[in-house]
Amino acid sequence: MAHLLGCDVGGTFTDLCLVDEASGQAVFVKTPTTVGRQAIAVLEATRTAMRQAEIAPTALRRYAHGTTVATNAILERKGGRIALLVTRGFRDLLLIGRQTRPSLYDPKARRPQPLVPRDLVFEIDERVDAIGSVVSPLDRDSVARAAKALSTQGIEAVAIVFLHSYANRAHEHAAARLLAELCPELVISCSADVLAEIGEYGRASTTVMNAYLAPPLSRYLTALEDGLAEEGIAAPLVIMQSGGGVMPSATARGLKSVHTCLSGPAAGMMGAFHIAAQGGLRDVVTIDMGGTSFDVGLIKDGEILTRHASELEGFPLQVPMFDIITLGAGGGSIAAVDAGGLLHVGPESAGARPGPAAYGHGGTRPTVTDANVALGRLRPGRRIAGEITIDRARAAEAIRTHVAEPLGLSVEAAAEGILAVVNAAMIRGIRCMTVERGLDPAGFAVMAFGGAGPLHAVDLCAALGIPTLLVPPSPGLLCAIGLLLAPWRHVETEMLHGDLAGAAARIGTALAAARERIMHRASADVIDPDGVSVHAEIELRYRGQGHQLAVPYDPGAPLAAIAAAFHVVHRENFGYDRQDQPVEAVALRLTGSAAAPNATLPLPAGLGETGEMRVGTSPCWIDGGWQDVPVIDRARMPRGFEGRGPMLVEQTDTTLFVGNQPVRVDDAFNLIIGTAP
Amino acid sequence: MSDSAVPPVSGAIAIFAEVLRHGLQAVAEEMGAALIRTAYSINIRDRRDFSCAVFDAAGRLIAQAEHIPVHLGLMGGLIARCRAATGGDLPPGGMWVVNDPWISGSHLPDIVLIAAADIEDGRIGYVANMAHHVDVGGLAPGSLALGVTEITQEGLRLPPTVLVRNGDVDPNILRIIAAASRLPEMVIGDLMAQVAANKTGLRRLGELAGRAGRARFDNAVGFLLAATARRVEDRLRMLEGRAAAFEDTLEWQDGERPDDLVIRVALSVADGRLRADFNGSAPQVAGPVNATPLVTASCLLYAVKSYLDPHIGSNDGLFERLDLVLPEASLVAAAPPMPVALCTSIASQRICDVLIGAFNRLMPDQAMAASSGSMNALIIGGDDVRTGRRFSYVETYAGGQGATSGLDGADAVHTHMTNTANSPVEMMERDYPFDVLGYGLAEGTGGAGQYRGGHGVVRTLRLLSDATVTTHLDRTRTDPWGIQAGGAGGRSVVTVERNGERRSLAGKSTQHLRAGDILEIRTAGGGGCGDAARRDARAAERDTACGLGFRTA
Repeated sequence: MAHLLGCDVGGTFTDLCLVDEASGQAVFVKTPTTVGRQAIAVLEATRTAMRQAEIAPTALRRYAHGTTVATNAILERKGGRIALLVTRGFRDLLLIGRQTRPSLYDPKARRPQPLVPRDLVFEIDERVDAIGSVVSPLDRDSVARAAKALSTQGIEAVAIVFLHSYANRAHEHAAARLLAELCPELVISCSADVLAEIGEYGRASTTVMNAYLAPPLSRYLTALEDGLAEEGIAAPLVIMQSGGGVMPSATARGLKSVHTCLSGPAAGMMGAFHIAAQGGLRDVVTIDMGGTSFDVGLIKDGEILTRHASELEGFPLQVPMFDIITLGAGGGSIAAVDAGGLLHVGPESAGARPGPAAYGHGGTRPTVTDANVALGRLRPGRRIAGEITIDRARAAEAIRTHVAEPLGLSVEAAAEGILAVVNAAMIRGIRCMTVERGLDPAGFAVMAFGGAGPLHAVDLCAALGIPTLLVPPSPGLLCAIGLLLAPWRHVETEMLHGDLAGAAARIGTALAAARERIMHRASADVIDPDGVSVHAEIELRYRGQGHQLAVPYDPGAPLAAIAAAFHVVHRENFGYDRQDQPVEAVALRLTGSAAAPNATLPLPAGLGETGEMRVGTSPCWIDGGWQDVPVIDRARMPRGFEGRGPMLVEQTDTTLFVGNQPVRVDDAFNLIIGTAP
Repeated sequence: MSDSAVPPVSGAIAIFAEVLRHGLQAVAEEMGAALIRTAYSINIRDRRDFSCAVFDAAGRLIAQAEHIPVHLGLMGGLIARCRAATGGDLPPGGMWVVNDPWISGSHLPDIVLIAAADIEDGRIGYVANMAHHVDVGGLAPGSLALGVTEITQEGLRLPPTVLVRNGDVDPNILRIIAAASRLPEMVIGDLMAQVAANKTGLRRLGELAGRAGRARFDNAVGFLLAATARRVEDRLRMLEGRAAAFEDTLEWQDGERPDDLVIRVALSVADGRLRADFNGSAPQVAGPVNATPLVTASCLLYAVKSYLDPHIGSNDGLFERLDLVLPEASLVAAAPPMPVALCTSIASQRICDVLIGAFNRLMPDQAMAASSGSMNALIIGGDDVRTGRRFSYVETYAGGQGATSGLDGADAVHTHMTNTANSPVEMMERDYPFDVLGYGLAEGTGGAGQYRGGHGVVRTLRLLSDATVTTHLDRTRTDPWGIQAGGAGGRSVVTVERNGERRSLAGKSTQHLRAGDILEIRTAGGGGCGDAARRDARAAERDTACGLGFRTA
């Protein structure tokens, strides 16, 4: 009778899935997100789900959660009030950053203001060198002076970033202990604990973000845990990390707060990964298009592409994150003719308010959504999100005024033009995501989700030469699956230095140290260390190179075999190798994981309903003329369905427009569209 | 003007031209991705010191992905210049290699590879990429020496030379280039990466033109260039009849004697065209600070984009409404055999300042104060006592940005013609024989004003090995000026401390220093905007609390 629960908070909806481990029977709940106080909707959805499933709170074995609290705190700059301790001489670490500017030609564009103002950065006398030897000892008085100064400033959390602490953490830890004695209420983040990697600015930026996010996350998780306790739920609360994998709520509150930055999108990618795996797809481009943005992710050789260095709102963050690129192209992107006479779409967006003209909320400028409406791809009179009714006349009027008349075109031709332009931008984004990583997009399938993704996906596949498009049952399901099946995961890094040859002993020491830290974290996270598997990678480069590449590290293999593997990976990635050059070891990275309690996929609900799936017809503009096209209710499409477009497939949260392509429904209720020419 | 009106039957082409613009930009970007992925040197892979471009069959620039603005003006007209120099054209399957500053526009380390794109029904265009190579010979490693008096001392100079014939690289040409370089393997590796990048571009351009069809492709390209020109003209029409001039100086030494050089520009707008006349600028000098005519064009295009429209496309349409008038054999338009190695790092920044000063008078609403005004290069080389291996460290340092009306200048940032990242201190200490004693904002360098100038940076290094140290700095004796009664930013200073004694170095110098010497480089700040008395009280209070008050010295 054990049940697992996954709950994901999105910008608009909170989605929850409760599944019976034994049978896979699942209950799905979707409720509007309570912006600013997410716990209210989360608890409400939890109660509803337990009532529908008729289970007691004690039947829950794990409560997995994806939250946007951290993301919102960054976007709205509503993190904690924090201070920073640095090595003397490096007070301006955050202000200087990498010294580059964000826009080549816009003199008003600025890097974001650091999260710690200059007067809350304190210099500490201490110095460690690049190999970890102490050059000058930690001056406890300078720490005490900083403690005294910041105690009057209402500081909630402190980041400590000393030079070369990745090579020797002693000074950071000693300063943290002293600070904790003097100011016991502070949450303290040491950079070597957050990220033991070389590069002081990247490490500082990540550590400062960790400190910044700890207070709001802590407040939110306390409220949520109190609420769950009131409901009688004692199951462990685990939080989704940006790179997949979960951690206990207690770890998310301080030690690894920065790992929740992209908790929400990560759950969706994990779900996409499981759906792809179930369908036997190993190479997939995921596209997620909403009102304001277009996200592209990649699954390659059955693994989600992950990066260990990325940026959010201009802040470098060196924690594992799924490799997702975001373009400012969404349903709300505005189309306009510029002074030169070219048709542009975006980057300006109508957002949620006033939104597209077709929504009737006062928007008068034509958007991508309006183009879809004008061509019949979004059915007039259709209700979206309960409150909006699609109004074709308004969409057509906006397009006529701002695009069709200035260009001397019909409304339909102008609408097709808007779609062609926004699709061109998205094609460029998908090509950039694949080609820059040395991959050919034609070798992938596309999985489309988000409110607007499926509407554009068929055209994108055709233009990129991608033969297969998959539309999963619903985005809510995707996140829930991702949460339910997420393993526990923890990453540790050790820096290496010097040539790979002859480094066996050093690598052995580093491996043992990182492994010990992973097992220590597992015990602290209440994970059985016997159930933890550890995967090691070593980052290597040719002497003199500025970039490194990771290859799997097998402690049993001779170093020569590892060097050989590096030559191969280098050739694959860069088209050449240099077997004559010495190979340098840069870092060792260990990932510990422990599987989710039970890897049962929930059975989809709300699909496979009985009744006539063809619920009507609607006029669509196809190949230069209007045609009446069948409207299909996705919930009623049976497994094994096979047919051919044109058709409009509607479901609660999205619409799919299929032209003259074959369509089928697989065993997991995924729609599969053949997009080969 | 009838030619400024949008043609009435432009509808479908206005859409396809924009779709094609994305496609062409993707070609240039994919060439860049191929170059990064296959290049050897850190210059290309990390610092992104390269640019990629796409041309039509007539040789017009139709798309460009430049990573640093100093490359902006070099590609326009490139094909025509190569044709003129060779008296012919590239055969199908051919590529030219060229680094002649009067043809490909930049200093000698910037090597350009140009490839012809042909499909079944003939030539559809060209692709090209320019990349900064580690060494092409000359007086000193890196080919950016100070003590030169003519271009022949700066390294190998190649006119457009057929490097690839029928798709195959000519090994004889490679051997010539390799023989001229101190680091032949790396140069050849990077050249092969450039060949690979062009091949990527050719394939993608062929696909794009093939899908569009010849006539539609050509029509849309024509429309795209005309649309860009119309967009520039549309902005210029708002400035019709205005004129302004400005001058500033570049620091130079004639032997030991300071001999600063004037740069002057007069801007005027008439009939929807902008004229930039540099007459009155100093004659060229027998040193590497001369600009090529094309680098000066880059500066003009940079200013046009910054002031008129940062989002405008980088294609031939951007040039069409501009008239650049350059005095012959001058500092801003050197003629052979003058040396030009510092044209990108020093001359370009001051030419840019002069243009900005003039644009400020043309468009007072968008005025900006002077930024630090130099790329602030520091080059240290020698033998690392810790490893016994030779080392070579090159970095260009940030400075302060000038304030604009309504906005303080940014602190510690690369401005104008460059934009490359710094070296992390932890990596410097690991990889080079120095201790970094401090790296922070240079307090007191932000120009006073209602909106203050940005701060320069100060970095202090203790050498652990004997080393040769070269600096390329400017603004050591002239001010980064403020605007609208705003104060000037602080100047740049380089000092060396040995046995407790400290001395200043010239901005542009080469020194042999010893282990234990402490080198401090302090870069210039940005000028302020508006009367300092009108600064917002809270902003002033924040500055004081943060120790970031106005320029003090």
